[in-house]
Formats: sequence, structure tokens, C-alpha cells
Amino acid sequence: MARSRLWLSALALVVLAALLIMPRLLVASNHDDGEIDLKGRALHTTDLFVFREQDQNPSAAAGDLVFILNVNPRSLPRQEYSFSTSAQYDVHVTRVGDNNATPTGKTDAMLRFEFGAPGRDGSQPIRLTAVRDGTTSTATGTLRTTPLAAGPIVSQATVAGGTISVFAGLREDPFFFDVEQFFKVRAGALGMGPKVGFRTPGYDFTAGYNVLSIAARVPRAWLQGPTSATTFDAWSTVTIGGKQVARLARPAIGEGLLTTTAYQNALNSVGPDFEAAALAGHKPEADVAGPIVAEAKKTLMAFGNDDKRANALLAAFLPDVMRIDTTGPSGYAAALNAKGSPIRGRKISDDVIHITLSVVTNGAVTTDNVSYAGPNGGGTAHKPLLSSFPYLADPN
Amino acid sequence: MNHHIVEKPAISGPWPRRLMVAFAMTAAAIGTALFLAAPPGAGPGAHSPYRYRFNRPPQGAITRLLQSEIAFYQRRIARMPQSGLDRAGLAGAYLKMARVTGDLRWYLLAEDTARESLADLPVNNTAATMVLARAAEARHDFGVAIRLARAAGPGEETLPVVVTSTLAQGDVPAAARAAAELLATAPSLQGYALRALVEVARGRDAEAEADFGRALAMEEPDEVASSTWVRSLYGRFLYQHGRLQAARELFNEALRILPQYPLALVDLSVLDLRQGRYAAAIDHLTRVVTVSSASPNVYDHVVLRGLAQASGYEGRHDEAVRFWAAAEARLRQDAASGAYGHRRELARLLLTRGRPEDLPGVLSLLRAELTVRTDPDTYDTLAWALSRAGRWQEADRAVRQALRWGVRDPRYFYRAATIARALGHAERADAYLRLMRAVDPGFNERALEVAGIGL
Repeated sequence: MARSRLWLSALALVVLAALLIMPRLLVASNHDDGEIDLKGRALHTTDLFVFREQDQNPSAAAGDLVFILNVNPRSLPRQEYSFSTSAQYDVHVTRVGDNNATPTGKTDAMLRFEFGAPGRDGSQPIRLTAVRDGTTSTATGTLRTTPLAAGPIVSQATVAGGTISVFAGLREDPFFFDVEQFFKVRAGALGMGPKVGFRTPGYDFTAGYNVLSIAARVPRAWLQGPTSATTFDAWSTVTIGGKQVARLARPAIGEGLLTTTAYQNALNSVGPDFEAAALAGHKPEADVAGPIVAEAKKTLMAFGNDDKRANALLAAFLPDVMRIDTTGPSGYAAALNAKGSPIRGRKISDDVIHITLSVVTNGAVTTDNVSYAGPNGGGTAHKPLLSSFPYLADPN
Repeated sequence: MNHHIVEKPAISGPWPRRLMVAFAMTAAAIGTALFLAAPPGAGPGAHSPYRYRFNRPPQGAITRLLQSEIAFYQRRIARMPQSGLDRAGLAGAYLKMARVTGDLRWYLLAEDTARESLADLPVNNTAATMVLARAAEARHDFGVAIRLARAAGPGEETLPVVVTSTLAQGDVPAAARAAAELLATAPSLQGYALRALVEVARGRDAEAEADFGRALAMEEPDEVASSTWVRSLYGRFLYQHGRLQAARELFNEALRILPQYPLALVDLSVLDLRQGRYAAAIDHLTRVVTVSSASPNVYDHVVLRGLAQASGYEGRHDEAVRFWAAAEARLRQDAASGAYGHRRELARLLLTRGRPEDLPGVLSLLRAELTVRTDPDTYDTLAWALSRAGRWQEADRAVRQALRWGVRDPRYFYRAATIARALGHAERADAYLRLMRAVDPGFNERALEVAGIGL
């Protein structure tokens, strides 16, 4: 007790002395004393890639498709991140009979990835559920994510009627885009700021960051099921607590054309079937989608498109799916259908911004002056891709 | 320190004083035995619903990660000085550091950096805007915080600020709308925890507890700080409902996850003081922050007031007086700055001291505070001050404002009972006391005294 009393007396003196010499007065409160926001962004999707494996790796077996869903943007280097343990990460596939057909958003096959609590090494157990034509099967075998410090761990999962290779873990973010300058260019076009162009070289904002990747190598035959379909529409969703919170297919559709956060949120909560219904004029979908489509069109027209071309572009990009015709080489806009929609999937290092800018500006802007290999503004560049599945470069 | 409170009604009922003393001593003995048998540091069992189910970060990991994050953005800015997005990232990292450490200098850095970021990128820069909104909220500039958050659009970064700032403004319906909107965007720990706060504010305690449970069920491995935060809030809720053991379990679990977490340390110290564990209270308080001139901290006044209270209870009145004086000096510096500071906390300190000559100043502080913050705590403090001034009708109006959305807080019921009794409404006073006991059967004068320390 005596020691405690002495200690308290000493502390009181120190405190009083400290307050007497308090430097520049600073005022803040403890009102926001709680939530520190060190959370990840594991529910946020960044990119979806779909390609024939042989187009990435000529020595790979024929007949396999690779699906890659990236989430958790701006993951910091050398920091472990986890997939949500409550969410379902889904990749949906529709079989398409005609490359020119409007996407229906009907799910013929789906891969669902769910993750458990991380172990001491940071890896998480993966539960893979495959749904095909209404039949559900859960993959046998032990699947785990790859922890930050390890080389890529690829697991083989057996689901009804096929074997699927699975990788999940941190990878370098392969996307490249001078997004900051794009915001300024778009603001200028919309009259919300000075008119500016892209800078040379552009600043690749994603360089140096990681993402959480889910990669699956899927036999085309498994996707075909009882059919002989060779074209597929793919899109991804993230659902948590029964609520779909993210949807992604083609790059830069929602973020590029919409400036209102609420509209982006609205599109994240529905599927391409909703867009198909809206475009067909069905209610209430058409009423709900009306202002969203109007804003997208306004952006397109601000980029120099007339009414007719803006409508054509909307028809080409909506409903938003990643269509891949597997009879030809993969690559974003390696081929277009009659509506001008890209139909050859997307490879990892495709310059999708270059392509998208050229299309939405009707050729007025063809590049943001950023490339995968660089060097881009600030001397940045992405790491070389791996030579085998999952192909994505090692994390920073 | 004068604890003479003339206007208080009897909380404990008509037991003979000697019997009460004997009971208190027995209870203290039992409590001591329990204390020794179950150390206060013990967290919930492995199957407890409060248990954190993921791996805990190593000691100091959060701070190290933040230091790495700051260094990361500084390197990027060195490479590309005009990048508004990188600067927004740096501002966000500074803000996190401010909130982790409570060190006020990080707030200033965060704000300055966010402004620079917005100068570089004035459009689509939600991250920088929200740093400014969070900093405004920290200064109690709730109107600005809400305006900035709303301008940035609805989202998981912006809506939480709207919830907490509208709650601070006493606009419970607006907070409820924002919480609902947040949960509609994505169910999350944060969304459920914030909706629980809204439910508490409108007296829907069962719904609040259900939401706290949902929040815990939604926690994620990368959200360590959120997990500690929600346990602190949940523990505080249980504490206010007299479920002290469960509250202790939650605070301890929060500290098992992050041993230096200020909110849980302060709340635990309040619980310690209420239960007579003075040494433990001092230990928890001194772990919050080391008060120093070199690094002024948002928690300084909390630590000082807690130490003052503990010293007083232990009979070391000289030390208590010095701690109270130090806390007062710190709070007066805030109040005199012209910015929004801890006016309510200063008012409470002065009311606790009980000198009549302080009353005009207290009322002036509270009038100023009510221009920005009209939540129940502020109205309750006003009711307290008006009671002291003998302005009972006005006090009655103030406490009714505190209770207007239905919050069920024993402190407010006690205040309302005090005022009703002074106004000659004995039945109403008894009704308030019954409400008080229904919420927290063990609520007593000690609980009332220590309530003022908390955050």
C-alpha cells in the first residue's frame, strides 16, 4: 500500500508538471474511440478473368478454362489478409447457344467458395460447392488457401463429374489503370471539373498492391454438362448473410460509367437477370434500372457519343456478363459479337482499360498510358506472371 | 472533493443503516473471495458466446502494421507526389493511428494530409473526405461530419459516421435510418453494432442485445479492432443493465484480443471502481495511456478522473484532489480553445466537485454543448446542473429530453426520480426508481458516481 501511495503521489506530480508545460493546444474527443477500421475489403470484388488455359500457357492441356475472381483491393504488401468467413464467393456460368444472344443471367453451373477461420499459418480451409443444372455437390479432399509466405498451393477438388483445380490466396493485383487521372478526365467530361486528358506516362495506381485471388481451372466438358455449348457467360457474386453485396463481370462497367454510389450499390445487389428484365422493359426492374441506365448513358454521351451510339453501347455491355466463346483464342475484345460485345473472355494482362476507353470515347481516347509491364509513372511495373496455374504473380 | 449531493433520493430502500453496513461488508468479503478465485483477467470460456474465435494478433502487431502502412504510403508519395489517392491512403493510416493511440497529433496530421489529398484530387475522393468527417466527429463537430459523410454518398465507410453523429445530435430517427441503410448495403459486425446503439437509444434493449449477438457472429479475422470495439460496446450495455459479470467477461475478452484497447480498459476500470477493486481500476487506467505533455492524448482526462476517483475511494484525498485538479486543467484547456472539446466532461467534473460558484460556468458550458450535441447524456448533465441550481422545472424538462426517445438508462431514471421528488411528485419518483431497479437492480450511489468517468 505504501508503495502504491508513493507511486500515486509521484504520478500526480508528473501529471501536474506535464500539464503546466503542455505545448500547442490540441483538441479532439474520444467520441470515435471505438472502431479503428483496420478491416480488410474481402467483400469487395476487383476483377474477373475467364480464359482458355492454353491461351495463357501453350503447354497446358486443352479443354480447360480458368476463372479468376479477385477481391480485397489495395491489400498492403507483406500483410496477411483473409477471405470472409461468413461470405459465399460465387462464380456463375450460363451456357450460351448463340454468340449474339442477349445474356439471360440464368445460372446453369456455379462454383461456390467458402472459407473457414485461419490457422496459425494464416491459411484458411476452403469449402467448394459445385452446382450444375440444379444438382449440388461438395468437393471432397482438403482444400486450403495459400498463406502469404508460401508458394502457390494448388489443390484438386473432385465434384460430381469432374476435377477442378483450386488456388486461393494473396497475389499481386494484376490490374493496371491510371484511375486517379480517369476520375479527373471523367469529371471534366461531365462538367464537374476542368477538362484534362491522361498523363504520360500514366500512374498505375494498383501497382504494389495485392489482392485475394480465387482461381479455378475447370474442364469445359464439366461446364457443358449434357449440352455441347461452347460459349459461356460468366459473372461473380459475393453474398453475406443472405444479401448479395457484390457482382462483377466485365471491367469498369459500374465504376466507369456510374458516379452515384447508390447506383453502384444497387447494381451490386442484383444479377444480370435483373438487367435483362429491365432492358426488356419488365416492371419493376425497368423502373428501378431507369435512373441507373440514364446516368451511365449520360457518362457515355459526355465522352462524345451521340444518343444512338450511347444506346448501342449500353446494349453491348448490358446485361453485364463476361462472355467467352471457347472456339477461338481468349482475350478481351479478341472478338466482338453483332452487338459489339466482347465475347472472348479476359486474360490476366489484357489492357482492358485501353479497349474500354477506345470504345466508350468512340476512339477519341485510346489509352491511359499505363501498361502491365511498365515502366509507368513513378517507375512502377507489375511482376511477370507465373508460367503455370494460377498464373497470377506472387504477392508483394 | 465534496460528494455532498443534497437532491438525491434514497436508492437502496428502507434498510437500517447498520444492517446495510454489515451486508456491504459481507458482500465485500464474498466479492474478495470471488476476486481471488476468479481473477479479473479471466475471459469467457471456450464455448462462451463472447469468445473471440480467431487468432489474436501478437502484442504490438496493430501498431506495427500501421507503421508499415504509413511507410508504404510515404514511399508511394515520394515516387508520385501529386497522387491524391496515395495521400488519402496516408491520411487514413494517420487517422487509424490516431484512433489506436489516442494521440492528438495524429488527428492533425490526418486532417492536413486529407486536405492535401483533396487539393490533388477533388473528385471521387471518398477516402480523404471521410478522414475529414471522422476528424470532425472527433472534434464533436457533428454537423460537419454528417454533411461530409452524406456528400460522399451512402456506403460502408460513410454511413457509420452518419449513425454515430446523428446519435450524438440526439436525432435517433435519423440514426435508425442510417443504420438500416448500412445493414441493407451489407450485413456486418459494424452495421449490427451500430444498430444496437440505435436500439439502446430508443429503449429497445432486447433488440439491442440481439444485434450485439449478431455483430459478434459476423466478426471476421481481419477485423480485430472491430471485434474488440463491439465487445466493449456490448459490455457497456450489459454493465448499464446490471449484468456486471457478463460485462466483465466481455471487457476481459476485448483485452485478451488487444491488451491495450483503451475503451475496454476504461470500462473495466469503471466496473472495478463500482465493485471496489481499486488497485485493479488503477492498473487498468494506467494502461490506457501515460499522461504526458509530449503527447497529449484524448484519454488523458479519463485517466486522470478515474485515478482521482480511485484515490478518493482509497482515502488518499490529497492525491485525489491533485488528480481532479489535473483533469480539470486538461479539460479547461480544451474548453478554452474555442473548438469543440470536452465541455460536458468538464461540466460533470465541476458538478461532482459541487462548489456553488461553479454552477454558472457549468450551465454556460452545457448551453454551448447543446448547440452541437443534444444526446441523452448532455441533457442528463444539464438536468443535474439545473437540479443543483434548484431550477427544478427546467431540470424536469431537461431530463424528459434525455428520455424522449425511450432510452432505459438507470442514471437518467435516477435523475428523473430526484427531480420528481423535489417537485413533490412522489409517485412519479417512485415509478422512476422502479424503472431504474428494473434495468439495473444493483444500481447504487457508487454506480452513479463512477458513471461520470467513462467515455
